[in-house]
Amino acid sequence: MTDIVKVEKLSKRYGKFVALSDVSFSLPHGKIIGLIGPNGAGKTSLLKILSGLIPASGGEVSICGANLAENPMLAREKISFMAEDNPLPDHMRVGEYLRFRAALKGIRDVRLSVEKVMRKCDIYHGTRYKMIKNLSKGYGQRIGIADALLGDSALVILDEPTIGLDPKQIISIRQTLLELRGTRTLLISSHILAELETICDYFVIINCGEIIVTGSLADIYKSKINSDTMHVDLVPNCLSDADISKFLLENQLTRLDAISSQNHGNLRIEFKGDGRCMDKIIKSAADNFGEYLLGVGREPSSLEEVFLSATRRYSD
Amino acid sequence: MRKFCTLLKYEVHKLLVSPSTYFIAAIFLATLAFAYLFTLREFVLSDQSFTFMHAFLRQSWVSPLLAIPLLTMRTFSEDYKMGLMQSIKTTAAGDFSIVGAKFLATYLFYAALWASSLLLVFLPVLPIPTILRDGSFLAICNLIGGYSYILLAGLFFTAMGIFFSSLTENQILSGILSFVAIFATFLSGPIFSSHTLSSDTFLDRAFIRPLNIFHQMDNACWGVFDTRIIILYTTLSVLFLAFTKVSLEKKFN
Repeated sequence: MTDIVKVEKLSKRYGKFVALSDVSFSLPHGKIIGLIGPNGAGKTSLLKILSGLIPASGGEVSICGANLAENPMLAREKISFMAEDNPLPDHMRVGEYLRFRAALKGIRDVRLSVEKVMRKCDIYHGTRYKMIKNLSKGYGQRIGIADALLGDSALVILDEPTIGLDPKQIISIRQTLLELRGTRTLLISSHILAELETICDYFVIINCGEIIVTGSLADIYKSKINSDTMHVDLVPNCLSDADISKFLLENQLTRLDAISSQNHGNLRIEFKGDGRCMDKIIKSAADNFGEYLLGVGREPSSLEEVFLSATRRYSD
Repeated sequence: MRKFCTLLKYEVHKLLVSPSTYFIAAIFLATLAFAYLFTLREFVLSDQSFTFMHAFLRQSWVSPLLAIPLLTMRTFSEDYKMGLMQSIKTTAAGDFSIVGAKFLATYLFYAALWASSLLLVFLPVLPIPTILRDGSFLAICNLIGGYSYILLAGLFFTAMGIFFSSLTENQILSGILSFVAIFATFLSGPIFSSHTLSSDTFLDRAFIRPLNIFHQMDNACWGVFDTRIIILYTTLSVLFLAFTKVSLEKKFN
């Protein structure tokens, strides 16, 4: 599998503030990649550097083998970028704007390319002659996505593409993006994790300017992030606090990490942990609680839980 | 080149569909008309050593002083504010193309405004065609020299206005900056000249008097074009456009 984007030891500083520090990763061809991180994590800086909008303070980025710093024009030809605020000129009509963008991107058959993306984004019939200023936010997003899909850029960067769209439009845009799988690399930054979980093959989680984890959802689950919810069910009122504390201590947990609750009359101790350590926990629970142990379980985490766990750990 | 042409077309279109452009054109033509009437009155009431056309072009300096800041203040500032510059910068269009297209579109519009002022010039010719035979109204050197000088100085003023617009997202601020800079350019000549009126040193002859805009205009209207002035304005225009490119680069850093 060829890598479309290679980022090595990338850093970005704004004065004394370090937005990105030693960021390295690569993005495979034809995949839909989700870029996740809390506000201020460095996502926008990373996207702006990848799109060639701002220079990096250090490190290297290459897009399809073209070094972004050494040959920015060549690299930019391989990138399409849709910014979060998706700026559009009010004074133009939809078709007129997309033709302008297509010409600016150096697309040869402007008319045909524009018609194709307008049909794909469902803005061909009834919308193409409308003034942009008269359109809703949702249509604005569609125009932004249509612009990003113009031409055959190898990397399409979309910052919050579904923000402001109604559920029907989200489904339609999701379908459009899924159709691009295998042909182009899509890097999508979004806070709607459930949406990303549905469409993305690969994830990059970033926090405080550092990459925490990259890989497929399965890779992330296999990583050392303690995001699985595990529980131990016990017979109520039979064990002392000391027994429970001993178990928690053995598993490097504190009282703060664990939540005790009643579950169908049983005492349940719930905590976040690494799913791969299940055997160890079962053995520890059996040793400590003996006959009072009713069961040990694990609930696989969602992307949201992985994200929360990962960013919490690094923020701490 | 193709990207430059695309950007130029976009900038011209942006100017043509904006109501403020027509407002600026109205202000420009109104000030020119006022200068025309004022010159006409002066011309009738007193003896003049200049032709009417010469005197009119001398009085018309207020028009670019108002029109250039109003025309250029939006060029970069508005695009910065709306984020449109960001989306243009993500394409493979170079900074020179972006700056050049904005400059040329504004300059072409400015030139078109001056071209429309020819209507004022030829207005009296329609009812009184014999006026052309009277050398006191118009000499061909006034027309060619005066308008050529106006277009030459316009290059510099437009480049300066574009530069100030590239410094800030605030249109009003960029407009004020370019107004002050153009006004200072107009004033500097007469101020320096008044200080050196009694002296006739090499410095005065070589630098101070040729830098007086009104002196330059007088010479141009007589059909005398100083090559130093052509080089000066062309160089300054290129310099300000280069500054604009640097400013644009710094904005996305």
